[in-house]
Amino acid sequence: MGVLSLNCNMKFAVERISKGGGRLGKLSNLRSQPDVIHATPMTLVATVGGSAPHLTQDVFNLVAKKDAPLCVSAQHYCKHVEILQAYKKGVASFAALQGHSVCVTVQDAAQATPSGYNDKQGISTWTHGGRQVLTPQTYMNVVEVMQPDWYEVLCDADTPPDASKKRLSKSAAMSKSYLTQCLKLHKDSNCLQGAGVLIPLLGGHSYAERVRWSKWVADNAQDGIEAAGYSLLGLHTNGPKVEKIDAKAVCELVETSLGSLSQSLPRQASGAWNPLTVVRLVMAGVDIFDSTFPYLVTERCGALTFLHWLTRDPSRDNLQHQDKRLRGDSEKNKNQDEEETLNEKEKESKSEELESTEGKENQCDEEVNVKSSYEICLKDKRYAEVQEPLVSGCECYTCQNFTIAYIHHLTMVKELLAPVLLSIHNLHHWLGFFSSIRTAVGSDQLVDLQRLLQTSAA
Amino acid sequence: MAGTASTAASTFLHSSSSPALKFRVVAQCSVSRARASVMTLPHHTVHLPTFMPVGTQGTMKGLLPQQVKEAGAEIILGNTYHLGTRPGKESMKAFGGLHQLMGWDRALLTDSGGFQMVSLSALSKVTEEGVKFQSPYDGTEILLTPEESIAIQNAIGADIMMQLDDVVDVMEKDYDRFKIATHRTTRWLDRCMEANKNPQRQNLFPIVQGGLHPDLRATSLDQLIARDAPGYAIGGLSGGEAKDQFWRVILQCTGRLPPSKPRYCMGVGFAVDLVVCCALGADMYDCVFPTRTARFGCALIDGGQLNLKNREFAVDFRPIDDTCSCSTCTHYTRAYIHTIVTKYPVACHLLSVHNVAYQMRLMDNIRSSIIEDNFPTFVQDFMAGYYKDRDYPTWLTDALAAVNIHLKKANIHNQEGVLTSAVSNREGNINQETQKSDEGTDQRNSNEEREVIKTKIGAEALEDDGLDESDIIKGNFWDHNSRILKLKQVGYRDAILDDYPDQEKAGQAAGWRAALASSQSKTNLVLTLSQLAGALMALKVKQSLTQDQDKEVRELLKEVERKVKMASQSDSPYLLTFMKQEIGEAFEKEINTSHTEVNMESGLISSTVSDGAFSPVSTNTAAATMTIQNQSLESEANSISVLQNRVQTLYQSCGLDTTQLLTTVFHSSH
Repeated sequence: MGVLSLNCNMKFAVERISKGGGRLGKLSNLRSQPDVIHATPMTLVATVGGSAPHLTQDVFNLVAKKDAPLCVSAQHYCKHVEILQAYKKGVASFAALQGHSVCVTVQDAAQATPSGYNDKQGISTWTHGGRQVLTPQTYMNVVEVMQPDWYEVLCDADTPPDASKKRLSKSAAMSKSYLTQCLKLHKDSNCLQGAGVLIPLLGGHSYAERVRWSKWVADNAQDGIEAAGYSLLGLHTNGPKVEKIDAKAVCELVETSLGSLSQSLPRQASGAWNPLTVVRLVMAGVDIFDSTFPYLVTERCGALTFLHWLTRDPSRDNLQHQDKRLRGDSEKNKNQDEEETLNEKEKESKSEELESTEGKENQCDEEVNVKSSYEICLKDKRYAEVQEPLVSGCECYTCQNFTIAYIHHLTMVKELLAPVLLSIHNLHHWLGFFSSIRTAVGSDQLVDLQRLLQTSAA
Repeated sequence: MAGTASTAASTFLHSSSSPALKFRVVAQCSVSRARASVMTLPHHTVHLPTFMPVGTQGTMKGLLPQQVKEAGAEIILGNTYHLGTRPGKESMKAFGGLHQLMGWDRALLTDSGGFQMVSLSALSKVTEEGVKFQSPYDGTEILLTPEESIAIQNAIGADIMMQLDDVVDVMEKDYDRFKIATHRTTRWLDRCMEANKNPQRQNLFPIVQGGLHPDLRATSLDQLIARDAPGYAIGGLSGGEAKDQFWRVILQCTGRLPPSKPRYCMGVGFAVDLVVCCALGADMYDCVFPTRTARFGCALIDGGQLNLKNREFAVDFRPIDDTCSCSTCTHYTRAYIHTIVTKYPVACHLLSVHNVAYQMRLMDNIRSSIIEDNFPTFVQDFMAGYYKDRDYPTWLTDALAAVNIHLKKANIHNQEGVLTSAVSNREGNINQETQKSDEGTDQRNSNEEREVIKTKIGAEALEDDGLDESDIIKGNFWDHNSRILKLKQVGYRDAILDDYPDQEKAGQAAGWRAALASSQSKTNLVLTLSQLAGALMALKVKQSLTQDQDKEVRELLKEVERKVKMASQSDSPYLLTFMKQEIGEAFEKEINTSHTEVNMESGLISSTVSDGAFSPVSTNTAAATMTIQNQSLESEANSISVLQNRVQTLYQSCGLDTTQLLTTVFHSSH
């Protein structure tokens, strides 16, 4: 491995390491936004086909700031290299989102990546036209034309929790080779000067492998690899399953990976982590996330309603009140059901069977098998007449203008506006959640936030 | 020119006032019947002529109300049938009406719901009481009376409500059916007016009926005008009738309707039609076309449409239309939309914004040209831009000549153009000046006269419909020559059908069930299957398919083949139907061999049957077997409509229009 020195402009400074876990940082000097400073922990806005899902740029700007960083996957653009090459101004501008900075990742975190398709040649990714193999060369071509502010280096992250030892060592071997090639191509590329490089932190779910990989990265750093940051990969293979991953286990793996590495670089962990896992990952030292979780919630007709405000803001009292009311309703229903069940128990003494069936019927929709406790499901008939916003006191465009009943109606008739309104709300809620995280880290209260999520998720 | 046909040179500007509608003509074209006016409704003041985008289920196809406003819409349309089903009348009341529910503070119009019932349900029946139909949601029988329609519309709270009318398919041949419908529509209007609980805030528009029969139209006009409504609609058109018949009806109606009231021409939305109907004196239009075509990846521009799926746009970094100021054209390139079109909903939103803005801008341009008294020039320029070769269809030159706007055809057709214009000019005069009772006859006479001239000059030049098979394969639906057939084929009816896939599927399945269960069925399953096979072969041969699409084609072909094979088995439900229709005449002679063969390569079918047991004589046996097999019929009916839908989806995914399929294969079940 030769000595590589990458000219990188992206700056990151750790501002505060909280006693309660987590750290505050500032990401700045991005090549497309030299004057913008992003406070971390932060979330990137996940995109599909270059746009925030369901949102045209004017609607997107109702939710996010005009400089909000985006996460665009190479998966969506590997078929459009010639188009971007001809366009010359990069993917943000191409998608009419100029002004937003861009991080390029290999895979779209919202889509489960099928396992077992990577080989010596490269990484498999799935486009509308089918499987596409990305070699270091083709991947770097995609990255070049996308003109990101920072990007993930190509690696073999196909290491699901049950991956074999052989798979892990293969992943490591190939990833090393890809990394070397990608860094060389980066160095030789004029277009990529000033773009930050995220070095992948791999090793699947094996502590030993993770330690070994990080050690290799650290050793080579002494040789002069100047990374802009780290990307925690190989923890999952994308898609909705990620939100169900055990937070504790993941955080231990992350801590293992980060142990021997520099504290001064930003750490990114993409994927549909649920809010509680996000908080724990922040505690473990992760700085950058993305909005895949709210996107997936939107796709299953859900609206985020979880509480994340630690400080008592009078305008939020309503929210808690409302939330309690809704929650109360469901509790009441449950109680009723239980009572009925009990009655029937007495009558028929087939208690357990009945209880379980009653429980199933009480669920809003049996089709929706992945539903978290952070959201409400708009398919649920109980919302048909609720003339209140999704979250009262919420300042998003959706909550300011529309009622739950209307969104329920749109959901039931499968109108395209339903996911638009839900996207607006969910993204707004998600961005607000990160603002709460930063406040909590700043006041050493991250544990309180964690507790709040645990209680409301219970 | 002998152009006294129009209300030309009238300096008097009409106006009218009723509790919930004030109407004022602000400018009258000095040549044609076109007029610019202002209509003040309880929620908004609307500038006419205008186009009303269709927001069927309480939303404008993925756009925020704010975006619809920015696109320039002042009044939008909601569908009573859909809103009455979900969320329902009582919920609508509880929400305080649709304005409140969807956050729309401008004007709103609702249709009566009758049209959807007739078109979405295979089993609707009209009685004096109302429209009886089977709910596509749960199969229960529902009766929509004029009273119920108004009750729902009152709950929705639209500024303008439409009466429940007796809708007859414009292609219906039976004159008496139209006669009944005409008179019944008037009787239903009286019931609707009686039922309106909110006349102070909600206007009720009658709908002129009478099909393509001038005498019935005249009767309808007389009866409805006598009711002194705040405005009037012209209905029963845009269902696939010839353009030549279409414009004559509009001309007759606008000639008779009070000039001091707004005139709503239902189901019209193609640019050329809008310009023509404005010239003929109509003020309001609606159509699902702009938002529907957006979902198929098409953007409206002057002179036609861009199908952004085409490869030519891959590196086209211009906006859709550089003269358009909509938010899509301001920010997005054709190339970007090309990369996401029909893949992500954002593309659909972007095109919907543009298409609605395009319609509104067109209406704006029409309006300002009328105010500047420059409308005839506008029409000439517009048409010259639209038909770049100036090869105008005859109906168009005729329709415009009837209101004194003359288009100059390209040289080749010059002679003919002059002649037909002269004739239609006279027709225009006749329409204006003769008594309505004579009108029909006169019009027929002059039609005959024109036929004679046509024959003399040579019929080919008059043929409007330039669309042939190869156009379908190439996807060239939108070039200039092919447009006219398209106008015919994609009526409001098809547009509606296509817009509600779920309901359509249910209706389709019901159609198949009816077809299969009835011993007098006109449906030939084997023929339909072979048409499907042909459509698939055409795709396979002519279209470069992606892997997935190719796989789908193969799968579908296999499935179709399997079904056809089933037809040769003696206990097949297909065979019974098949026998009943086909064997009777064409195949009786050949009852000697024992199987059905399908030549998949040509998509043609050759069928021969031998077993005497199923000869047409044994219909009774067949009927008996039929009853036993009802259950399998049900599932067969469903599986065929699933096949149809898959073929349709496939066509759409290849960027092809399914119009042709709709008329040949897909509608054979209705």
